[in-house]
Amino acid sequence: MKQIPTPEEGDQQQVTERPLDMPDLPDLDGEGRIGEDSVSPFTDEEIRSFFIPHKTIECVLGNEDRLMKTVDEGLGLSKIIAMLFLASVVFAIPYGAAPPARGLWKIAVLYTGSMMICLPSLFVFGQYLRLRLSLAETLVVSLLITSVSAMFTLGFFPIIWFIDYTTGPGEGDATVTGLSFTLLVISFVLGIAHMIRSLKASGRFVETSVPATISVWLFLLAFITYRMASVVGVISW
Amino acid sequence: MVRLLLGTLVASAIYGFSIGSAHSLTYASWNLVKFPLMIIITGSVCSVSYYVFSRFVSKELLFKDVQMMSLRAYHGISILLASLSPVSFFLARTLKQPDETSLNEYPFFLGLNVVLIAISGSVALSRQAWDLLQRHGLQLRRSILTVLLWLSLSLFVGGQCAWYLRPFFGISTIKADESPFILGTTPDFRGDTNFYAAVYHIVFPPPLEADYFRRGKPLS
Repeated sequence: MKQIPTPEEGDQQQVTERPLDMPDLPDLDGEGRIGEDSVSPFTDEEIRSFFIPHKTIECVLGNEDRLMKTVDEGLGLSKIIAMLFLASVVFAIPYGAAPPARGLWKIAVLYTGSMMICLPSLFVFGQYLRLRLSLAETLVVSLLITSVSAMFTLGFFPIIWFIDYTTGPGEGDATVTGLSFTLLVISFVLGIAHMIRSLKASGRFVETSVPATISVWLFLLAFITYRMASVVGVISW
Repeated sequence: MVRLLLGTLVASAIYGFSIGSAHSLTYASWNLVKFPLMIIITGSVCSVSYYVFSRFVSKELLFKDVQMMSLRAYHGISILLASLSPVSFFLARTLKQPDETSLNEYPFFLGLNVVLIAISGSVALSRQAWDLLQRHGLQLRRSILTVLLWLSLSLFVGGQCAWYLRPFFGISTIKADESPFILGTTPDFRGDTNFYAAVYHIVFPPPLEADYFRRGKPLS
């Protein structure tokens, strides 16, 4: 094992030789928070591998403690942001292509577009309320929602396609649209849950102002996402 | 893996045959293909979701682990159902068939098989939860949550798959030669065109049409 570098040493240095999927990562304590000393950030080699689709999923889902540690230390931030942004867009394409959305771009715009609209408010309010999140960190936290939501839509895409294919026209169309909307809501909620879990893993959710600010912002994001769903035609009542 | 897959196909075909025999040998023969097909389609459609949900709950499971575990779960369900096929076959051959005045024991047979499938599914998935605990070292809470999520997904997709591939049981008022191999999106006797609407109408039943016993045939 090599020494863990300080942030000043940059993101080029190898931090650890532990593989990404090694199961004996530190135990969770009672509240699911990881002790800071026992978590190592991703190595530069690992970060580069995250542009392979299944590695992206493994990085974001299940390794939130290491991801947040990497972000905290400022290692490879631009690559992580690029990876999360790509994941938010690319993983959402199949669900958008499938009925009833029928638009490659629609789900990506639904999640990522809504988040981009709300991002400035989170950053500015965060600065005003002294949340100590830089713009890059705010972007990572926000992109966690959209990337995880997009990953779930990737999982749901064969399901909604299958349901649409096997459902009769007429009243069945309304059922498929309703189910599709429900799956999108589930994806979105799980994306939010993962973002909160990641913040908890990084220890940032302890200060009382953080949950309050994030909660209000999430309410705004949910509202804008709902409006965006109407605009892009994902839902029609 | 090939043995698991073959075992799943054979065992599910046996159970499919037993439930189809409630109607006729034709239905029973069709089910030799349709029931395994339902298992394979459900597993394939859900495979990515199984993985994404597993990663969401726990970091220990890799894609290959999840696919093997889901295959083992389907294998378990099929074997358990195959063991119940003599029971199902006996009831299928002795039930009072529907006629133009009543569905008679048909709903009972249908319901009983749903219960048998539910029991087999629960037992197989409980074993998977135990495996998650033992082999992969997941916490009890996470093991149960993972398995419950898999179960929900399987029910969600499997229900619609079964709907599309129906009839598995068949109503005796409709002759086998009048019925297609699969009914697909053809409305059922209540006019529903998908599984979810049918479940809704089981909970909140609408009045039956006068010719309900003739429905379930393709529209002419």
